[in-house]
Amino acid sequence: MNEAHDELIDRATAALRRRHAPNPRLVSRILVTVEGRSRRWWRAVTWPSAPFSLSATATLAAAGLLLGFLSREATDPAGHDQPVAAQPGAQAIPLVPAARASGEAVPVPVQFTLRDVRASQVTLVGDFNGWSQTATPLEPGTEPGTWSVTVPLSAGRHVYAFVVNGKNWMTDPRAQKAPDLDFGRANSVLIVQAP
Amino acid sequence: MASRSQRAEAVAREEVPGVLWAIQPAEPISVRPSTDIDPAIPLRARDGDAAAFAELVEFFHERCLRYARYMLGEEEDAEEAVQDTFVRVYDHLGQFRPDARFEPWLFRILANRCRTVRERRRRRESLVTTGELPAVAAEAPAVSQDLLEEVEAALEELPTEQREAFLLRHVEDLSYEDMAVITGVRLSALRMRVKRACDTLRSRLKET
Repeated sequence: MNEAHDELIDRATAALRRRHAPNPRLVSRILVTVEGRSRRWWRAVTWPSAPFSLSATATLAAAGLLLGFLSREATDPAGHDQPVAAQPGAQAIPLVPAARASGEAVPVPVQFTLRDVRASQVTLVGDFNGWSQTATPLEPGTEPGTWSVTVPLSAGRHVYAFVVNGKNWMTDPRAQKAPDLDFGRANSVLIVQAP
Repeated sequence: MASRSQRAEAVAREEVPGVLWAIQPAEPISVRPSTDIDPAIPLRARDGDAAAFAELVEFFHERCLRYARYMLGEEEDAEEAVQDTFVRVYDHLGQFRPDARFEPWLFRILANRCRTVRERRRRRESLVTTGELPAVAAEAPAVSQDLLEEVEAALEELPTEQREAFLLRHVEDLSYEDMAVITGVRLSALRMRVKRACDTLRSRLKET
């Protein structure tokens, strides 16, 4: 398709580009709007007075207060059904995508866990930490290739993903996906419910 | 070999035989807006530097507003779309990858915001037309008096997809690769949209 010199279109384009003026009022409005927002608001969330340990969260899972499920494949040490080792790209598998409500206006400790034998570093990114790739690192577990972190979350819908080795953005294959037209990259959805 | 921008500038300053509506620009034309911004600035904004975010808004808001005006027609709607865009950028800067280019990322968000505002307006107008008559009758479109008005009128008649492709390619001077990122449409389809838009504009403008 030839886009060579076309005087008529060039003149039309030049005319359209003339409508180009700064709008300080709009700039101010945008900056005032974002000033009241915090992309890292989760840092202000405080833990409940009695801190929850990972084992406490697991107990709650057994009690049926968890959302999500414990994946048999993910906990299988032999990894028979796991594509992780076989595929070139590591696959994040959640061991306990969990949420527990502990009362009104109290953040719920949520444990995020994944298994990735190739990972040397894993971080959690989501709307709850301003999508920061450094704010919420996962700690390696006792089993090789397992990683976890527990984060206080408010009840409601949260969108998240894992970043492995600082570059691989991964959705949770067992969670609902949240397609985002704006950013062209799907994330995972977690619903934290109050009891 | 002259660039597209240089050609446009040259054409805009000279008489063009056979183009009846050709007029001299009343003021210097901003032919090719600079799209160069220090790649460190979006990253600094991502890391929480408020001044860097303000710099991004200052740098890009004029082009965003111009694009939104042409896509939406109404100044108020355009400002709403641009404000939504930058707020969304602010909220999601953490998803901006260091190896990505900021400009297509921004325009992708803007193009989607424009579609959202347009759809919202369409629903609103649909409600009005099926309900009571609007209190104030819409003004009759003014007779085009100059080149810009002629071009705007022709542009407005284009299907949305063609107008979007034409604006991104010719007015914002983005590459087809960037346009594919912004619109999610294949290169061949984008080229076709731009060609059809140009054909229609050429035909309409020659008529006038």
